[in-house]
Amino acid sequence: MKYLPNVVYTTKSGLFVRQDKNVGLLVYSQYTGLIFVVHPEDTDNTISWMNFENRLISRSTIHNALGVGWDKKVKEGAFPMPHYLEGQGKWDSRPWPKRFPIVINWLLTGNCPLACRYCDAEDLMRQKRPEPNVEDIKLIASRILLYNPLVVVLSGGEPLISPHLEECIKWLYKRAGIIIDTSGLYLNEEKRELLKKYQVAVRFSIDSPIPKCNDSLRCLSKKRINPGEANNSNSSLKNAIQSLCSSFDENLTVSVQTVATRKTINDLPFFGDRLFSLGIRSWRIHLVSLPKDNINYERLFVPMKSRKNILSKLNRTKKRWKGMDLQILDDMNRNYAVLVSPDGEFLAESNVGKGKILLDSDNPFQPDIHKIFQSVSPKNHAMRYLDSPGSRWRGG
Amino acid sequence: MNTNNKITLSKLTFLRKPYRVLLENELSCAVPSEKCGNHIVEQLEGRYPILDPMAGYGSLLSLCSKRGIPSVSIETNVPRYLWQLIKNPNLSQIFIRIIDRLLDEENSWPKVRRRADVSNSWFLIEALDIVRRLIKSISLSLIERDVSFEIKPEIIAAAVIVPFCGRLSCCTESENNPAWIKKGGIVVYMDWESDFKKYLNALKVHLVEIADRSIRGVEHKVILGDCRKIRFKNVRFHSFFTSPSYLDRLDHYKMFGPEIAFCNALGIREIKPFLSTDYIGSTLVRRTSIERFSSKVVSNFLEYIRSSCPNKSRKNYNKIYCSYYANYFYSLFEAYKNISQFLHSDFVGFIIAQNNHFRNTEVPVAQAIVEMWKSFGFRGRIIDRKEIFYFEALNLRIRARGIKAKQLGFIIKVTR
Repeated sequence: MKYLPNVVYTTKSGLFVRQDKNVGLLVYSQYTGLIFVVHPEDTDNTISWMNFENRLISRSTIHNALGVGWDKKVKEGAFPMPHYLEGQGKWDSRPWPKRFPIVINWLLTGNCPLACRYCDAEDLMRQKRPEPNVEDIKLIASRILLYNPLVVVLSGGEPLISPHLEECIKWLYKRAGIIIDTSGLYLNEEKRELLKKYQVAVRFSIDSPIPKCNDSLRCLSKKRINPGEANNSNSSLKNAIQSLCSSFDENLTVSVQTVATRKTINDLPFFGDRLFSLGIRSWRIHLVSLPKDNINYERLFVPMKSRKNILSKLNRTKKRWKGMDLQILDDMNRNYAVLVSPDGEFLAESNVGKGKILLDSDNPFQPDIHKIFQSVSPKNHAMRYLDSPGSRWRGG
Repeated sequence: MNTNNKITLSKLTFLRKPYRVLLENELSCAVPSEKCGNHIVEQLEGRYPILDPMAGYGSLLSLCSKRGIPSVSIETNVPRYLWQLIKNPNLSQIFIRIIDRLLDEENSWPKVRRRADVSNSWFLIEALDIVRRLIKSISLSLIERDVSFEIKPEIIAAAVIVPFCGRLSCCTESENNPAWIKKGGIVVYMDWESDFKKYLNALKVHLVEIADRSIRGVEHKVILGDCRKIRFKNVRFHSFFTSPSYLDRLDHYKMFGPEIAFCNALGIREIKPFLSTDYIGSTLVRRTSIERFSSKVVSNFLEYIRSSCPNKSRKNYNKIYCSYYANYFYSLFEAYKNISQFLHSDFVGFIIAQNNHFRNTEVPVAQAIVEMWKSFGFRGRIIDRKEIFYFEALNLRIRARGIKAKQLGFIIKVTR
């Protein structure tokens, strides 16, 4: 079967693929929640292997990264950094997609039980935008799919609060990979079953291994509504860890993302040890990126010297986390993501100050494809999902 | 010494750093080299047993056990005392038997359903339950075998389990600094059995080594007590070889936070009085008693601290640093004064002291010790001094390079 370029397909092994003329084969593995690029020369061979047409793939880098979950045990995985898989073909300068985004972040709802100090979506939350109804959800989902994203990240707010979560997942299922960002508070048994059924990867947001510290950064909002809370602890860390353990027990794909702030940055190696021993094999660390006019800037912003120190420290300590994919994202430029607000507007983070900008002011709900990468930097976008600033390669 | 059998414990076993270091290295970091220790012990020939009133991790005990010299070690810090029990060659065979039995009964170790949990306290009930059950099983095996000796079976069991209990605590540790530890964190129950097994195997290797290299039939006494208050009936020591606690402004009590909390939870009557925070070199200062003993050296040093501080932080200097140093020196004075009552007229003692730096000036620990002993009517003199480098300065404490990393090591001889 011949795959058309720039269209997302699901292979028989369950992996999502999209061929990109300039780049090669973009692959999203629902078993790890990670995105990789395969060199154009290895594309055909890899596709046949993922469709069980040839049983063996000769290149171990590709096998170790993409075979996890269906051809290999999770513990046997090895994920090169950056996520460019070289086999027979080798890149001189690694390219990135310039037309269609790899990932679209959909802020499914503005409601959230937490009030994180560094939250950069606060301007879209807590009834500042109208909440969508079922019809809106279908419409927004179909508009998102027009841009052929390999992965749609359901975010918020707390996406698990959304009454239309199931509808949304059903709509996206098999058309794109789905990742859900959650604090874990509402991940009850019913929700876990839903996510398992539709092969949604769960990404937990945890900032610190110290309860007091994590709870002060990711504090539970007093105004929260609590029907369907999975855990009843007042600690957001405890809720997250308990949900994470239950998700593991039910064989969901689990990863963790951490926003590193001035308060928490020194605890990261210790935190990594705990996560690794719990079985986490994918950990994304975002060094907090706040505009200077944010009231918490001084308290949370990680000084440049500490950034360097922690990068070198983590590079040393990650040697003992064999088989764990560690991405450290130092987003000094904030124009890396394509965002969709709860009411369906396509947005990007402002690089200059607070707030968001429309991708296409003439057509905010369905921007012109050429205008997407005018406001969002394609290089920063690719680096966020395929590369880590801690690695040597800095783009083509 | 055969070091080939040593088992290296990975950081991922979550065994606490102080114990990983102790299991991997022969001596803890602040003690003299083996060569220097042997040289001093040779000079104390015929004046046995050798007393160490501040025994720490038991370096004198290990030195004496190799040479077949009787020793008496006193330590007030419970986790350190328990570690000395492990180092005592007279108990090695008992410990080895306990470990063998524990390993044989692997299938009956307590099971935990949860993968992990979070708490703001040192221990969760589930974790305490695991370690308590292990202690109970060890104590019962000791009673069954009808082992009767002066130490309680619960204490022997605690000596085996305490180094491991940190693995099941909800603490957050620093990557490098062993004294930095915070209450509250994530405890991972998953695979605790395999980590416990690794720990037991490493401990067994350590014990076998101790048993092999020690000369048998020599009495080594390890006493849990505070050298400032301890009393000996009809005993006069002919020698001592000791080293005061290291003055690095790190809280060595807090360093064993989970272990002390665990010992507290065990409720063993004999060790409970020693679980307080009042020990020599504590950073939790409750009194400033410098006025109660007159020491020129200490007064000058404290005066320097007061005068050298910027006006802005004068209050902090007086409250924190002056109180801390004054408390340290006074505690040392109290300890030596108490010990001096139990020394024979022909006694000879050696003290190893290290002077580090505070705000570009030397902290005169050695000079103060000499002055203290002189005030008790003894002769004290510095017989050797050398410049040493702070052992972790190059790797860890970037700020401590240069003069702040340098220390002076002294050997002080005390005689009547």
